[in-house]
Amino acid sequence: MPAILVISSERYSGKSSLVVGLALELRDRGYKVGYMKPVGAYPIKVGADRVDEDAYFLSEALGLEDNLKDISPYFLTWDNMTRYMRKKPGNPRAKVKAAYERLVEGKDIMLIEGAQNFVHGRLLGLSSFEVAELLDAGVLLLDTFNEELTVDRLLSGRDFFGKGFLGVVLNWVPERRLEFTRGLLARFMTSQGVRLFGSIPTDHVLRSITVDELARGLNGRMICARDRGEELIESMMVGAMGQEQALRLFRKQANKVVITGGDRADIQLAALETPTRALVLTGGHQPSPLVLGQAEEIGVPVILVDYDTATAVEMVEAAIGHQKVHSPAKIEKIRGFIREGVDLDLMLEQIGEGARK
Amino acid sequence: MAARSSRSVDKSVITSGFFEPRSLAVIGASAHPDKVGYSILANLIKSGYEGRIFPVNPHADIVQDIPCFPDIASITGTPDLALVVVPAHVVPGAISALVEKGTRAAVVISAGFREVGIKGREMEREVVEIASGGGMRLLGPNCLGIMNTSLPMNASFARKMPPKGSIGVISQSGAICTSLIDWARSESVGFSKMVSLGNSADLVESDFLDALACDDETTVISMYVEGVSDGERFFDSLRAASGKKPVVLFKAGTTQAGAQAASSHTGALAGSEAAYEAVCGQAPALRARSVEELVQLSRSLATQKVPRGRRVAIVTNAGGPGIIASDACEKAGMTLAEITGRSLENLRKYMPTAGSLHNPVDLLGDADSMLYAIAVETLLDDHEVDAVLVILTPQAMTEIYRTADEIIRLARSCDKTIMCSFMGAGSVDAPVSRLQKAGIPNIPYPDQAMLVLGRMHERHLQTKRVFSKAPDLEVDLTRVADIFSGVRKRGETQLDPEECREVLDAYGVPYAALRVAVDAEEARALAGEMGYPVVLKIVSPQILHKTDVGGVVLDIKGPDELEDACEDMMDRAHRQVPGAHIDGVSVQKMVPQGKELILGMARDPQFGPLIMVGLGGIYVEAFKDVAFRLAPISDWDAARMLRELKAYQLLEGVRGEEPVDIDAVENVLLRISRLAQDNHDLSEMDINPLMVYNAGGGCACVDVRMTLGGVV
Repeated sequence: MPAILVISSERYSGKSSLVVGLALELRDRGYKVGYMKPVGAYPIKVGADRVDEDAYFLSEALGLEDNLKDISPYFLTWDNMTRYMRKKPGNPRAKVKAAYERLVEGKDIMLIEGAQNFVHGRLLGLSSFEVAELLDAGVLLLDTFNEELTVDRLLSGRDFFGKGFLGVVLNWVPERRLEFTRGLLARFMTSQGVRLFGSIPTDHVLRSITVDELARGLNGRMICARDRGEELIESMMVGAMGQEQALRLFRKQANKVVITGGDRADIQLAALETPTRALVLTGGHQPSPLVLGQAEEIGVPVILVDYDTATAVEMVEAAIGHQKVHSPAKIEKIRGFIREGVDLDLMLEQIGEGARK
Repeated sequence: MAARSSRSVDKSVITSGFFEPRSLAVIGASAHPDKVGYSILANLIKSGYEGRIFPVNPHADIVQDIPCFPDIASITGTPDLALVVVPAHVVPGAISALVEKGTRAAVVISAGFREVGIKGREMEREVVEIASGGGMRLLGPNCLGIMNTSLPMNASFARKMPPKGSIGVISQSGAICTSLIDWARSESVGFSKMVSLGNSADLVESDFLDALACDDETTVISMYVEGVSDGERFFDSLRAASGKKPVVLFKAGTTQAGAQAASSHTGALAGSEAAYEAVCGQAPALRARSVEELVQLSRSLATQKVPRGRRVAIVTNAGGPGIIASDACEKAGMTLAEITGRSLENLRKYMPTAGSLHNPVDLLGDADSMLYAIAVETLLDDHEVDAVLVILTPQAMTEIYRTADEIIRLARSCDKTIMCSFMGAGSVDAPVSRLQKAGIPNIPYPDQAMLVLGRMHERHLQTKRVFSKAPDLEVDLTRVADIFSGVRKRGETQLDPEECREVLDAYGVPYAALRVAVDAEEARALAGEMGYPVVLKIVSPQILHKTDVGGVVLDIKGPDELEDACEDMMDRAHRQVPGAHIDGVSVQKMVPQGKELILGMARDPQFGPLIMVGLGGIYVEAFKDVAFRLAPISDWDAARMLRELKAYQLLEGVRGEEPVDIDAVENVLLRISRLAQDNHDLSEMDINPLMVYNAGGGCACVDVRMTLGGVV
């Protein structure tokens, strides 16, 4: 069974996005695609089972009918990790192998999602190295582009995985570096025996977070325009200056959340005057009814939080760019990038599927 | 702002509906003196309104001796204007019924709308929708009301009406209105109309500005503004009104603290100080710096002729106040008239020998009313005098009453400006009141009196101003659009230096030759083509202040020096701004030193693009010597902008220096104005410095920053 293990060198690299995009593209080409995530990190409860959040979302997005516990047999939380350190966890490798055997039934190709990085899962004997070997899968490295580190990481991927290393997809490549990754870098890597399947540019939609997710993450209270919870936020700005200065700065950034004190009506109006998706008001102050009315009218949700601006900034920063791909808009976007910028034929050729295209 | 209406209004609706209604309905008229509905009706009756009044109240047959209607439908006839004083939630129904009746104008006094939150705002919108659906216009809600002293009609809950006069007042604050009325009564200042705008849900400040501009009973328009609903329309209205009569505008919320308070109070942007400065300069309107100046200047303009020249003669009975006024003269932009010839002879004939015959003319402390009369008459008759300021200090021998009467008598037959400064309080109060009733303004502080004279003269200059249009220039729109879309495609808002240069080039703005290199090798090649010496600057969207990170090296004379500087610069930038994307370095031909100016553009959300020019280089922050105009600017504006700068003297050349190429700078100003006007995407631009050379030598942009606005 041809299988691709998608791994990354760091977390939040966009593996789930790539997997869901690849799966849908392959399905369009007539493949029956299976999916597994042997080691997860963020569990959620589905019925009686606890499974990895991404795994659950992907199986839903792909409409898989397989057993969720087979798709996501393990996840490593602090709790689980300390438990496995106290007591040996039976035979995870055998369990994963057995689950995999069940999943491949009726499939043409398997996409396996790796853990947070190459080594994550080693405790269970399920690091990326071990999973690739156990399930006989070719390794696809998804690398978050980094000016200083990418070259070394790609070469090391080749060294570590050897023959099973299919190649690389670069993610989050700044527009200004696409020419480099598609030119000099691609040529150099080919000369080094590393296949570069493609580059996915940095994209604001993929990095974005919904207003609802933000409100939940901030533990805040949304007090108006509640019907706009699905809107996507791509960036954050803090309002601590005068109104004129705020207007100048706010105008430069679209689809943003503005964080400011609840008593700063001047800043709030400046935010509403410019392309803003949400206002986070700190310090537990209620805004002026005039401002609130205007926010409601133009459909900008206002989220109240009790803590200070600095804390809110930290929390928003943590949230933006670390969000899951759980929205149809994001899935469409990633599929577009794959179609435009990733050589799927070359990738399939590497796993012996060249003839089927 | 979106909810506010900016559709233009047929001015006759305002005149017939709001200013001169033949009949009036008071919806919510009350017999209880503690209700607003009582005050409104009582004020109407007391003001002597002669049209028909229809009180509406379901619980009374007669209110304040007038037969009352149980509801709007049963009113016999169609009221021209309705005053609505019922609770907010009943207002939509009332407006519906009024529309049904055919009423075309309503003042909604009731509060409880936009200012209380989301529900109130929805209700406000509903009310406006009902009204516009039925062809009705609304003033308010949440306002004091409206007055017309000549009808007469006090359709407000302000207790008293101001005296009849010719100042038309438009105010965004009802409380300011009531205070102005109080003041007007005590100072005998007459108003023609008074409009309290409230929430401006439908009719806005510009509508009434347009109406007062055409109102024959109004000779001066006086405005209290916290923010405007549609900047561009306001500018047009202000310009049109100013062409007919003086407009004095006081803008509140000009500091950060003030803007915060104004934003919270009105729910509207306070607007930038620079934009209001530009608006008032270009309309042109007279901007009052304080409420006191608003009233003093409005009153003086309404009652006196404006000085046609700068020459002021001061008559005083004490030396000190004369000196104070003389000091203020220069600050006011006025000069002391020279007293010669017949005037001098005449004064010499009657004046005490110890007095001063020269300006200020000091009659000494024992001056009686006759002496004042002779001096004032002499100076009013003098062709070399444009205005007379009469200062009086109440001394033992001073005939305050008689002096006032003499001045009143002389004022009747003269066509020059007379301003009084009877100092003190108490003993001068009654005579001052007599002066003011006769239309002679008294400002008790001579320096302030002089400043008001200066502002009045400014109005004279405004009427002489010639309007010119922005010139036609050849520009390449497509090229700029392409560059902007390239930046957008990168997901950025900042243009790189090469793009800035191209944009300016497309608009014919001269720029010191510049290319961007990705590394030292390329930089070397480019410098070779360009020729040394060159300037090297770091190019990174994250590094805005290049000098702070050692990102600028000047006067590089050869290739080795260049390569060294390039590598050093990249290292420093990487170390000091970790994570910054470094695109490379810009290689620019080193231009000769000239005079440095700074030019810029920032887009004001209310008024549009604002063009700025100032003294450049390292002095920008220290001197803040800048001038602003709204785009599009004309040749005249560009010339005026430069002449407004204190640094203009430097441009003309000091101590034998040659003057710089001012024409070239004006040309750049016109071109960036056009650039801003054509490209709404461009949100900000800074040219710092613009190197300007001696006359005929032109100028060149050396460093430019351009930023696009976020996409909505």
